[in-house]
Amino acid sequence: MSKSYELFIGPNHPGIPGNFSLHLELEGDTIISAKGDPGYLHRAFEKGMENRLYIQNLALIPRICVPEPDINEAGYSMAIEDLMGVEIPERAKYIRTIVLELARTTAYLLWMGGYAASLGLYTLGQWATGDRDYAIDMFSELTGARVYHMYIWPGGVRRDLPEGWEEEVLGYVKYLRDKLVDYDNLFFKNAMFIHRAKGIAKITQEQALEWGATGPVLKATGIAQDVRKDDPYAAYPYLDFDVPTLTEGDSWARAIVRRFEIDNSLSLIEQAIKKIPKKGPVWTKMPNPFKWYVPAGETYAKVESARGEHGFYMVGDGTGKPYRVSVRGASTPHMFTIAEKLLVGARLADASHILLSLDICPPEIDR
Amino acid sequence: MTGIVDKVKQVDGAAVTVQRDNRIFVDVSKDKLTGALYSMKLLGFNQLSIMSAVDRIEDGQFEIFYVLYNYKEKVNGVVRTRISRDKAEIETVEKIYTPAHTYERELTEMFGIKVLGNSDSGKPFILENWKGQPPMRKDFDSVGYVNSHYEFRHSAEEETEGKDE
Repeated sequence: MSKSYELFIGPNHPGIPGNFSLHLELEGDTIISAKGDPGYLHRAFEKGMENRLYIQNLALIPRICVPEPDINEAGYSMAIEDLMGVEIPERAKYIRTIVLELARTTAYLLWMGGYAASLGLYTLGQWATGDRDYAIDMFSELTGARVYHMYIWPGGVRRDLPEGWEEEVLGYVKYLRDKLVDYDNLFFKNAMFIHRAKGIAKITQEQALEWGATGPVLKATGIAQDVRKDDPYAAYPYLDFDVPTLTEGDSWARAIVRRFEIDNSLSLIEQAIKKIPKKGPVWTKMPNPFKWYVPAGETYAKVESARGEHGFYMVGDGTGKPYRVSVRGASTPHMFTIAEKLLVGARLADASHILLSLDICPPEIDR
Repeated sequence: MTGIVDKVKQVDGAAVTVQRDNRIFVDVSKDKLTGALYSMKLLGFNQLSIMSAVDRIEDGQFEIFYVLYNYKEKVNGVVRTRISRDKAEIETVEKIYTPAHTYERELTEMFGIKVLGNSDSGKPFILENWKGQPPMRKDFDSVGYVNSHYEFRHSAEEETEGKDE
């Protein structure tokens, strides 16, 4: 006779990627039902934005995803630019690309640490957090802030690159590329990782499409869907890259796709620094930020985040404040449509590993 | 792009606006909504990126929007419909787009729009034990809510200076 029991993981737990709780029902160590419990990070961003000027919201939106805040600045700015009919200068497009790819790299490094730790390997987390910090130093030099940059804004970017910053970034790219060989030897080629991750939490291509997967979760099932390619923004149309895909659709494939994405990001940074126009404005002159009257209308602007499609549905009403902003994060379908299904039948020891393989960012759910 | 626009124009009851490259807005009436979404899916709009509402309080209506994506054509299609604020309810579309289940649950909580056929509509989701006016409605008084639920706290500086408002 078996008896089931309940177990809560989170909201404060090392195996949960943020302030989020998971309500599990188990029999032995097999999960028989899983329910996500959000709300611990709800700070009413969408409501708050309706009461603030467009420029004031710039300080609010990066906080929608802590590991990768810049995607929010880019998506939000693109929505305003679209409604106002503003084109950004060429140099700004390249700078945005460099910043977004550097941010993507840091997001993947942080994910890598958490993912490896969920399998019992803590060394990688120490390395990755350290290497992420070098990138954060560069953000600090560029924007004056470590995590929330508020650097990409409507019309372009806030200021031009400091003297010698590009060389520093190229140095970092070279450093990280060398370091990734060690990462591969320690983790991605590690027999323990392969053994634990292969065949776990597998989804088929049809399921991925049906359940609304985007980003690495979808790419790991063989579909090369990527906003940077399909609906290009910033300087992506001028740069050469392939969307990495695998067909396995399991935890291993999702991890390896992200590992390839880091290579992609580093290559994109190098290409952008090589091709960036040496001179020129970085901001299309806009009216006084306190008088940005965005015309009435609706738009949907989207960017590719480290987790998938990240979008802003914005409604302007001709005043200085947005009438409605709705934020689409990749984590909502990844958690509620996918993780809740994948966890059923899994072993308890794999629960955090499965969640991290989907790279769920709770503030994107709570908004 | 033009090919898919022409096809979308054939959808029953659809008023199509091309906002810009790769962005189509499709307005339908409430009774044609489910059919329109189903037709959109058949046209290749496989992905529901997000659905939510806009409170058009001056018209006494809610505008429900569904942001869809067609990977093959690389086009986003936004299907919109308006419902009365007084009788705020819609039918679920979770049978057509699975991720809608969660968004609909959020919609009920944040806007007080009942979703018929969604088993979780009305169950607490992000807000716990919320009572009264749903917070995303335009007539929700944010400042009033804060004043009645939280104590006013002075900044540390003001406290040391003994200033009081």
